[in-house]
Amino acid sequence: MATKRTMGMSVAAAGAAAVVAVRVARRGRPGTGHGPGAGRDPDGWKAVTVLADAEALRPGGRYPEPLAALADRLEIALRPAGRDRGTEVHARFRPGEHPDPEALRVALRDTKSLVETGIVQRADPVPHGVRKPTPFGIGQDAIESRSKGMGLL
Amino acid sequence: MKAICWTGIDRVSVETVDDPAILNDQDVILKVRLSAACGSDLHLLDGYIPTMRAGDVLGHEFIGEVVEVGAAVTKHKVGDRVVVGSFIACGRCWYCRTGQYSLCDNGNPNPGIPEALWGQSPGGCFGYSHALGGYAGSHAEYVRVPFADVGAFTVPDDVSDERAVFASDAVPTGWTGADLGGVQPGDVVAVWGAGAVGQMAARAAILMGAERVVVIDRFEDRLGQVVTHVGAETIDYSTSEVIPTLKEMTGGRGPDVCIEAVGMEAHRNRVDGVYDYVKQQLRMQTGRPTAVREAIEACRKGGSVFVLGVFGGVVDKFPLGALMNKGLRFSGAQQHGQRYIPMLLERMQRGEIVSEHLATHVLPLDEASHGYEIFKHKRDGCVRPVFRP
Repeated sequence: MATKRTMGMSVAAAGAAAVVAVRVARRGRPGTGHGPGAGRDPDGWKAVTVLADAEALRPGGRYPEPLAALADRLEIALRPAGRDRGTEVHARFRPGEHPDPEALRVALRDTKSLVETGIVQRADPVPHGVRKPTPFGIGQDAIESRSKGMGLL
Repeated sequence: MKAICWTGIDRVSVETVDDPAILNDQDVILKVRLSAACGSDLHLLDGYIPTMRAGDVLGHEFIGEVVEVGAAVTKHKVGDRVVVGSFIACGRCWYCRTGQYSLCDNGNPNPGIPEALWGQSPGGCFGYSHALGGYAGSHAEYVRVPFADVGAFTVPDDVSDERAVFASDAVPTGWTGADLGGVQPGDVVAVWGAGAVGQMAARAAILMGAERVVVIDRFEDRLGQVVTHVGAETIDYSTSEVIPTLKEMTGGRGPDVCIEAVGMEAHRNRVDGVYDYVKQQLRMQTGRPTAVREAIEACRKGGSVFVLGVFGGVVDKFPLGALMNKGLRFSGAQQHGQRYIPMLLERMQRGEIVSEHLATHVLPLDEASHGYEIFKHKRDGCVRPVFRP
């Protein structure tokens, strides 16, 4: 009885995880939707709000490295955020440039973290026990490795 | 090192894993002194949190001794005895600056996963799925603490490990519920759940000046702790009807603030409890919100309902009509521990908050399976198993 229940729950949990995986993958898949925004903002803009003033975002006239690496291919607009929330950083690929929404999400998130905290946080390499190479586990690892480039940004 | 790992539904094992390393200069490494199992760990064990990976190290409520310090850490040194908030927060984003630490923008390295689930990413959490960052937990001999200047707090010498360990999660979680639920002096506050978080929410409400605080559960030993250690009243829902009893206790009004501290695996001896159980087992809903419904029904008109219990996805038969027509305030949160822990440690020092009674079973890591077994099934009076590596 206990075994049946455990198996049933395992199947159900795997199903729930699969739903998450599909949603993550679908939302994060580059090149889907309309225009360069990968199915999000139709004009391809993505944005983060950084708790810093505009000058701190461009020390010496140069963006921090995660954004600087793409800056030649991007249009970038800075706007003050309301209620003392810092500066909005809006960015999109210039017309004619091949859009890479995942790279843009990563660059925006990492830039925000660097400016606010001085680092980009990470968990890997993480201590862990035995991980058997199951299809489900491999799939989850693949999603996790791309998760910063996914999501709703 | 030795660690307790999640290996699948209803399974944990004690394994030898790599020691943690400092990954950036704001980290410290702790030698864990005590690590408490949390009720929310049971959702992981029961398979309701989908982004766990076999081999993940469990545990997010802990106290330890600093053994290694990153170059940019300024508040801690080797040898410090510290308690660490379970949520990982940077302390410098807008959410952290406004005291909403569990909503930190920079604490979760896997933001795409929670954005797919919830639209936004909260901060990270130790040992609590890859949706919350994939960090290793504290049921181990050592643990890495990111953003250590923000999340680790030195424990006063005269506060014991057994008391202070709960300043990591249960106590600040309870305080979060009472504070953000808006408890005011003279209020009547009802708390669903007499586990560690429910007890500490009740204690917080008392310290905030509530006139009456009532905790609802069915386990005699836990209700006994509420009376003895918290100083609140109780309702045993296996022998009393909750809502009529609360009405009578409040002169027909209902409680001003209702705090739900049960979460997604609520038990209830009502028809909706059976309904929720069946739907959850069929994965037609991801949580059993039985206690949330009752809290909404019980709350006075214009009152406040606060959800502290952990939910991960969607629930069914949510009483939106009652919420709207009664003019309720409805909110919830993971704990903003960094905001409260220094104050809570002072209160622990003064004896205003006692929590060591929650550690009903202090066990070595090797007894992980036994600890989680008695915790899950509420056997042997278990409120919290606490592991001592």
